[in-house]
Amino acid sequence: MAIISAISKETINVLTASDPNDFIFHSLYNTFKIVAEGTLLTQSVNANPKTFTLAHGLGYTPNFYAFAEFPDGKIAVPNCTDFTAQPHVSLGYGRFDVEADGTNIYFIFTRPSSNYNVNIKYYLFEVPL
Amino acid sequence: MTWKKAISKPSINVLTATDPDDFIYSSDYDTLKYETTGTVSVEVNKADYYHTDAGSPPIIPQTYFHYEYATVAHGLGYPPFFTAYIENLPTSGKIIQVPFSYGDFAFFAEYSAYCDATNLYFLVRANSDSASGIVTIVFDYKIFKNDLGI
Repeated sequence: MAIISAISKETINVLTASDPNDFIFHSLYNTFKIVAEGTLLTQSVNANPKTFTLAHGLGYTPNFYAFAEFPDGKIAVPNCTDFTAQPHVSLGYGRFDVEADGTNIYFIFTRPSSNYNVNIKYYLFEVPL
Repeated sequence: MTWKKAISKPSINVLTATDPDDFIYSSDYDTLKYETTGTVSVEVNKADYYHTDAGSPPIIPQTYFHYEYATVAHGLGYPPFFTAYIENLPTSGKIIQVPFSYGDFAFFAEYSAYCDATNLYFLVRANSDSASGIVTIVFDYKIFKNDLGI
């Protein structure tokens, strides 16, 4: 007999629920584990493009995600131009994307005008790409 | 001695497993903790343009540039992990992950999302060949409790 560990959401009967969305936790459903996370603070984007390289030490290409805070205080998801950029009015600070391989994770920023500083938050998840 | 709570996948010995992918749950690893979801619309009034480019008619039409965004207060007091999607791009009919952008020789559109300790921001940058009419872009978002810490 398989033993199941489960916690349902409020007002849901844990013994009869079958929708995965009715559970806070259920041992039949894998959790999306964060195997590493970290920050790179006050990084200077002083070239165009500028790449910040971080060795992740996992030995495989990880599933990853990241965010970057631009000098205006707005935090962007990857492949976004910063909030201030407005074609024909402002080049903005820049744009960033994230890449990874079996050794490193790379944070790549453009610098269309002057140098600027960024804060970066990254997450590496359990399932290899 | 450090206590741990773990549930391994079927046929995996929970006492000897070390690969995170062998566990359904392990207290060694943080997870994304879901907070809330929602929908917000960004209304682009084409009459409200900030720049116009005369173009070269009839090949390249006159274009009008738009920059519009909507704000959602998340109430967490710190910048959270979030994801965003667009649900009504007429050229697709499918949910599209944000950011999304496209362009050709005359037109462009870029849909982006941002956060800070107070709000989520959903931004549309685009141009069009008309200075009248309204286009509404519907964004969906998911917010997690995880603090970005930046």
